[in-house]
Amino acid sequence: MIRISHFQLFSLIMLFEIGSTTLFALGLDAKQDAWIAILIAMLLGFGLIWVYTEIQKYYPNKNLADILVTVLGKWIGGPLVILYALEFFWIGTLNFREFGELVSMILLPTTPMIIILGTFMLITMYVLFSGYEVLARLGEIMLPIVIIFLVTTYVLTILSGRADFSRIQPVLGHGILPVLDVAFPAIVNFPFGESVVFLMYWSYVNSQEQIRKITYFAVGASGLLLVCSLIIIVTVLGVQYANNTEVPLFEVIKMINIAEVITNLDAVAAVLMFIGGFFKMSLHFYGGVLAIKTLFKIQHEKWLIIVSAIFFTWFSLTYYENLVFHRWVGLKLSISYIYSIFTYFGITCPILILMIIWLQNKKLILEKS
Amino acid sequence: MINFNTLNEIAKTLKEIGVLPSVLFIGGALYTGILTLFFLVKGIVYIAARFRKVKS
Repeated sequence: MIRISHFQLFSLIMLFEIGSTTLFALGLDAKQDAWIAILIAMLLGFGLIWVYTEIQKYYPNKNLADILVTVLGKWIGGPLVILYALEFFWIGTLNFREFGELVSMILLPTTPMIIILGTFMLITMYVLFSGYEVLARLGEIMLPIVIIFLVTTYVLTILSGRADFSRIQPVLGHGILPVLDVAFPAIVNFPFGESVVFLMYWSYVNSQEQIRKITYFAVGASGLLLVCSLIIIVTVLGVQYANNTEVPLFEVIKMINIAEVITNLDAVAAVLMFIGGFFKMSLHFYGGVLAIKTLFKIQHEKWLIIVSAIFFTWFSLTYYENLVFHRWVGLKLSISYIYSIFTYFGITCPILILMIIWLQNKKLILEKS
Repeated sequence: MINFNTLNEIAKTLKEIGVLPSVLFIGGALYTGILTLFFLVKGIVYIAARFRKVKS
């Protein structure tokens, strides 16, 4: 029986939330108030986490696929499980291609995309063949590295005198409405609403009572790291420049120069990208695999991983024509509207499912009394 | 009244974004409706059961 510890869950959630998000400058439509938009989205995200963990509380030993079939029945729940699996694959391919593009842009400009993505996928498959526990243990080892690198980057940026804090002023100069507009649904959906994938994994945690607390703590900590990251990006680059660069944090890291000794820290950005991208993509990919495995009661997981990996890599290679199209699909179409894919699967459906579970439970209690 | 121009725009956008996101868009919207109906039916059944209990 697969079991993971509290710290392993904490590490996975934090790595998942940090994932690619530190590399983007989220919420820059709110200009210098983008950091406030992230804070507001984080508070709304806490509400979503409450919904997800409440669903898990009713079915502690079941994953999302099992829960949907139990609550809605085979004929209504089954297709929804397939849709959720496709959604996890969809977000996974977004992350997968994003990291392929970034590696190609920063480290390996002449290497064909198929080699970069293929290698990345082989590593993911190797880890997933060993099981979810191994992925969790890997997260436990990687989290301190990511945090140390991120915090070091922030400190060195401030020490090198590049940050100009007047760039985040005036605070709420255009009022709160544009900030709220950016926070919901875009930032609530990405990265906070993506935590819905953890409904596939929470059943593996040692003691179920602690799940909500650990998740709140991990999301809160990663949210604060995102806020710091955004403040650093805006104070160093300014809103305009940050908006026009592909990877703002990379530009910030390139500017670090302390007495001509500590400089050229591009490798730090690359390490952050690799670790964050790997966990975010792997958790989504395996979430999709687990959903299909649970629904169709497939015994041989390895074959499912292989087939899904081939489809996954092929889709990532052929669907996204270029980075501009990728960013439009990922940051606009998928998250920015009330009718976006992420809103349906991350907000609307979980809330409705929880309401249905509540009603079913109330009816059961009524029948027993 | 059905606005065919809007429907045409939606069809064009879905064609542009490809099969998988289109399936997710349509599936997500469809399931929002189905789950709302499911909730309403369960709600009515619950209220009826409660009403019967109070009556008896």
